[in-house]
Amino acid sequence: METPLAQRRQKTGLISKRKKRAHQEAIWAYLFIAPTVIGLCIFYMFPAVASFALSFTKWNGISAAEYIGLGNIIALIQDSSFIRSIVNTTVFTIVSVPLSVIIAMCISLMLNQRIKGMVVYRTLYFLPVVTMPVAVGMVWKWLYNTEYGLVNYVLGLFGLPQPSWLFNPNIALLSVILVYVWMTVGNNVILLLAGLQGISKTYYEAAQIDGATKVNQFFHITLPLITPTLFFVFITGMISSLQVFDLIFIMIGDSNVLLEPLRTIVYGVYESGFKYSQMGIASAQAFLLFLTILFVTIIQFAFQKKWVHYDG
Amino acid sequence: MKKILGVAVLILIVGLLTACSNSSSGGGEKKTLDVALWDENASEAVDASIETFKETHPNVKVNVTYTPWSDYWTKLKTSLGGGSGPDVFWMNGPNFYQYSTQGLIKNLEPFISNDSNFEKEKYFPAVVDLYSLEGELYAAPYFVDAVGLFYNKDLFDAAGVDYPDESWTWEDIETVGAKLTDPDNGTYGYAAHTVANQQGYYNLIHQAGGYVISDDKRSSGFNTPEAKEAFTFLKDLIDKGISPSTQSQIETEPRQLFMSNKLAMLPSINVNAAEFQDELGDALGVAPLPAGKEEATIVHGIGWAMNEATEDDELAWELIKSLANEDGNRVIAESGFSIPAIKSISDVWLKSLPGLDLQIFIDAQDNGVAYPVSKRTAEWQDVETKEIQSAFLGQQTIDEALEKVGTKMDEILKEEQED
Amino acid sequence: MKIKVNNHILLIFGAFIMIIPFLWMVSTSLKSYGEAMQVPPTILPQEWKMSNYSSVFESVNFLKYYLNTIIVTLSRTLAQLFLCSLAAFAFARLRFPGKNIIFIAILSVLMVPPQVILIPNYAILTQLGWIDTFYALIVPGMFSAFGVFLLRQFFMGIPKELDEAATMDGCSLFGIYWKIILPNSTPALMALGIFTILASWNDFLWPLVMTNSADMRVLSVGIAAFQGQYATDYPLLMAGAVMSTIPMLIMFIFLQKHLITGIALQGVRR
Repeated sequence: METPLAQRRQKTGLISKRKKRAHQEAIWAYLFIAPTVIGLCIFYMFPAVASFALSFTKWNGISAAEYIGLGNIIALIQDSSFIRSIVNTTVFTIVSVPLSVIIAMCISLMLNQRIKGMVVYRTLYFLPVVTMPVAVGMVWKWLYNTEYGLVNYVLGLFGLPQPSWLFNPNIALLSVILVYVWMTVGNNVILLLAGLQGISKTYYEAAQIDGATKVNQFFHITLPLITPTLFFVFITGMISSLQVFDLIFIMIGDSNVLLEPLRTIVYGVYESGFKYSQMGIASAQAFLLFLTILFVTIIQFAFQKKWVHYDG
Repeated sequence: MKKILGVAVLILIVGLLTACSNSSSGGGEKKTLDVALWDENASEAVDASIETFKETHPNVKVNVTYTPWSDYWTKLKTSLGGGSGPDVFWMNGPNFYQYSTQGLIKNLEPFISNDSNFEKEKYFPAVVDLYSLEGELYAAPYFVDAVGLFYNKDLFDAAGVDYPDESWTWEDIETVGAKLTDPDNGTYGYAAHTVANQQGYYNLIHQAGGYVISDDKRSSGFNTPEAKEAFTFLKDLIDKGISPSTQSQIETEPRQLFMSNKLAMLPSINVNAAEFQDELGDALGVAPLPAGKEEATIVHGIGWAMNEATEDDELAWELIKSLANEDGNRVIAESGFSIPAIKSISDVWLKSLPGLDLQIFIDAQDNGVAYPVSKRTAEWQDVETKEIQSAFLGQQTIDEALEKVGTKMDEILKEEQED
Repeated sequence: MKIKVNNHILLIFGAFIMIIPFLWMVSTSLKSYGEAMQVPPTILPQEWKMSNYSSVFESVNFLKYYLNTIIVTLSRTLAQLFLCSLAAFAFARLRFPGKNIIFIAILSVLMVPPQVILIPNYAILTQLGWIDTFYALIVPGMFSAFGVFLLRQFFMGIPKELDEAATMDGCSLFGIYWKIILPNSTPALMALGIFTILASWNDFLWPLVMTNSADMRVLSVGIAAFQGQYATDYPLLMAGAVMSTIPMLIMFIFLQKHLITGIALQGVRR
């Protein structure tokens, strides 16, 4: 029989051993995360905070920044180009995301029916997603060419009107939206298809026994059960379309007349910061973009209870 | 996976090391000068001058960067503003005042006064004026250029009409242009430039008896009956289908159409002559711009400027001299790129492109109109191109556009007087 | 049966729209300028003008753009795989004070759009003297909050019994990471790798802003500059576009299974 003292001694020994091990484990852990944490701090977290601070300064990127309070915000609100970029970005997002999601939904529903050649279709639909946006912009600019472009040639064959896609200020933005939808639809197809394939077959079997029509099955089984994926697709889609730049930059090129109909918030950040060296104003625009994205995300999460079903 | 990662880390380290050695320039005694310009067609001449420079400066490395026109000024301004950027680079008229008044480029006068080998008097006076601020030279003239009417002889022969000559007027453009136009083939008679200003409407405004900017640099010439006449003439040509529309000028540059035999006449600067001849051969011809009420062609030129923050300004000056002195001018003339800025060498250029009557461009240097500039040229040109293009795209009338350009340009000119 | 046939017609029509721009890009890239401007257009080039491709190499330093892009993409991807997996291992397996707070802080980085950090980073890199060097293109791109998150989720799913058995055998913590976790996470590492390669290859705004000289251009910036120079010479532009996209298209066709699993993983996980 061991004495209580010996027992205690063994216990403390164990504890200290465990402590030592825990101590060591923590040191290793810090070592493992250190590069990433330090890197993220220097190149992501600190700049994010700095961007907020710079929004209240006048700064050309070289000399000392000068605090001007809300000066940048006031200047921006009075700047018709900035207002134009807000309107364009909003329209771009509101039109492109639902359009892309609806088309992707139709495609993935068709693909989900154990259709032959599914992999081939999936590959083809996904090709634009992996293509460099700069190249996409160049190719579509050529396709949209009023006189020599393929799009207008095909429309002409069917006797349809041949608009000047990019040069009519009323439809220029829509033309770019169509390209963006073309670019993103494949990504959404993959996500929605994964969601659809995750729905258990038993639901449909039960519905068939009850004699539910295909349409009924879609609205009562498929749609509710796909809502979590739809939610994800909507959120990520909106975040990236609010940041659209590459495509717009190429479409505008150095054409003066395309600038206003197509400018977006990120284009404004680039223009103010790197064309005119107004880093303060550029930061203010970038930060407003951040707030917009945050706002949109929060709103989406707030409303998700109304339509997203996580059971099932 | 493990192995891949192991190799991965290795490659990464190697990659970073090579990145290191790239950025820290070699070491040793070798000095480096960075040169920037936009037109790769000039590379033959620039390279030749740099080779000459290296003969006397074997320890100097010269890097030449060609930045496309569309990015050139953005990149230059950002890098100069950041205290870096090329040591020696091309300067043009519209940007000169901005760079010289903001202290981004060096006054060359101190170097010139210490250097008996560089005489300002040898150069065409117009281009010396262009790059002088209060009588002091800030960029060494490299070449000058003018606008002429290039034409495609094959298309003229096919239509059975005579080639353009110095007797031509605006009327001839219209009547002959109509004969050369063939909608079925997609060929146009003439390019009524509404997007390009130097090669297009600037000339026409002057030919109509007007001006782009007044001599005292205080008022705009856009809101005048003469300017309106010029633009109405251009619109007429487009409406009649003789010229490609403004939109197609943006989507498909007229010079491309010209080089692929789809455009008979193209007003263009002489710098493009060599490229046109490469493409069209003997079919290429050139004549003076047809006259309106007056004869007029816009003349301009390019100079070499020096970065204010350059480390070794004496060395940079030596390089500028190699590029802009008689030898440098001779190689640019021989390459056929453009008219050398030194008057006495212009004969060399005449022989550079056999078969073309280049004399018209040299004559233009004496009786041409200087490219319009003021302190804030870039700013009012921005307004000008935007409004005029939008008028020709049908978004407003020409009258409205010209009035807007006139008013805004006057405001900018007034502000710059107060600077 | 009838429904399926209709579906095929619709799907083929859709696939046609997806693929046509690519075919047109290739076809135009092989035409002469005059032929590209022909109305009505020719579907296939009448005369195959391969010289457009060599013209691209002659007129700009395309080879250099390729090399730069490959160096940047490889370095960024390998560094990310290593650093993210290391950190993810710590968050998935190890216990240490402040773990949750640090993890949440890392997740918060996911919220920040890349354009917001652009301007301060430009200033930071200027201070470091990294503008217009490979450092600017590579180093900030070596760290990824998304990568840590993705891998941590995956590592959590690897049975702990494997670690314990290894510990019994006297394996160190790094040994467990190296010998147990990594070999069992190939799908996640592949997915992250492909994501990073794609993002890095196609990235535009960052290299556009952070480099100046022609020698430092990556493909995306290079072909954009190319467009600035040869504004409307479409055959030449298309040849450039074909050459800059082909590597990613080939990679995708071979590795699409991994990429698609990766994308699907994200959607389902959250």
